[in-house]
Amino acid sequence: MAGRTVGKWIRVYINGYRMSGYTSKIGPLNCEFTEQESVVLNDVVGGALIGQANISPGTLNGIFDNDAAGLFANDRASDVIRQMMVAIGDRAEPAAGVPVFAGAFRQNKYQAVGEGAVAATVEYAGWDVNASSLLYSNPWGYLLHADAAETAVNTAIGIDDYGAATSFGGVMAYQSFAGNGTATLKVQDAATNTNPSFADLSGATTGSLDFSNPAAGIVAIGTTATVRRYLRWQIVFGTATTVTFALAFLRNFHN
Amino acid sequence: MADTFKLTTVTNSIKAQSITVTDVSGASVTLTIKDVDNMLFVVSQQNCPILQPRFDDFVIPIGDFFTRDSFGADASVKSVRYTLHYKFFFAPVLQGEILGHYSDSVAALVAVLLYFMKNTNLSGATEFLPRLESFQPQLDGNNTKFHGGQIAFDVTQYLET
Repeated sequence: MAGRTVGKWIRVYINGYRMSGYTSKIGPLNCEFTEQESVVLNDVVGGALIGQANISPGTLNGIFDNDAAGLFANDRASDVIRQMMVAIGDRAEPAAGVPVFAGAFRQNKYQAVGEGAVAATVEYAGWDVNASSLLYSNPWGYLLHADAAETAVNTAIGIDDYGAATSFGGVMAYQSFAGNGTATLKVQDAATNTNPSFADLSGATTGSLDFSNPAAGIVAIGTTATVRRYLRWQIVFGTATTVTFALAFLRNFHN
Repeated sequence: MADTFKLTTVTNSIKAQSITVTDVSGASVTLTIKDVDNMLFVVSQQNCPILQPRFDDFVIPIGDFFTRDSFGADASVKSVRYTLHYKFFFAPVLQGEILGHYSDSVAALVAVLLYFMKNTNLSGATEFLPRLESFQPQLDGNNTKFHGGQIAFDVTQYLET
């Protein structure tokens, strides 16, 4: 990402639906560590408990609507888990390499408010307590594949999201908006950014899923897994010939 | 990073838009849009419909105009916010004619506004939003009265972009 951006380039994806057209604001995209009690000034813990982050997308202020693909139809139920991805475009539609906030979050509330134009307020709590990504404390990563259809495997080079390999695993997040059968979405990594160098990142795969309907999820790999420097998306087609999806990887930096 | 102020890039971008409106004869035509370097002092019926910068107060600052958005003294990131004002001339208000083409003028001005509401990604602007200033007859440099109105564009630019 080369510089500052503005809100109109933020894209919100929830459970395989594009919610940007129904969202006026979302946030704060929060990752906050609880302060240790009784910390003194020279305490080495520095006032934070590692691995105890409070992570939440905050509140979605949206438009009350009745579209089949809209906020009311798909997100009016509360006390359920939402697979969310917020991609922040760099003064343009989000492209591979832009920051992403993603995870599985519990929706606390859907509220229709307003005496004039009726708005929708959706509140989220923290990580899904049943999520396999609970071991991770970082909801931020980078987009590997922007919202678009694919009909062939990826032979392009990837992105350099961090500048070095890491050895603390990470989380793959995917949002599939449309498709016509089964396929497998994957993350691949490489030490050098050339097509033949890329290999599957162990565990970072959806497995074979039917993408005929909107689908979304997160897949956490082991917290000690090595993730090489360069990352890219990959797809293996089963019965599907096309899948429209967004894919991100949230590299982890400590255990 | 180098800072640039792209006001003329924005006015060029506005001029480069292709907007179809219905003229006074009922024909679909492409709206003529003028830039600051080729404005018409005197507008004729043949020029209409036309959208061009307002002579007076074309650029009005929003807030402090330039703002410093980060630490870093002269190297800090900065923004500029301003409003551009345009006059829309639909057709001359003819002798004895008061309301004859008023509704056509309103429809054309709404079409122009709607276009800009749906096309806000203009070169030179980080953020760009149109705004209606007025639905009322406009005067050209000769004080000839035209059906039309005024449109304003609120522009934000990050100077480093």
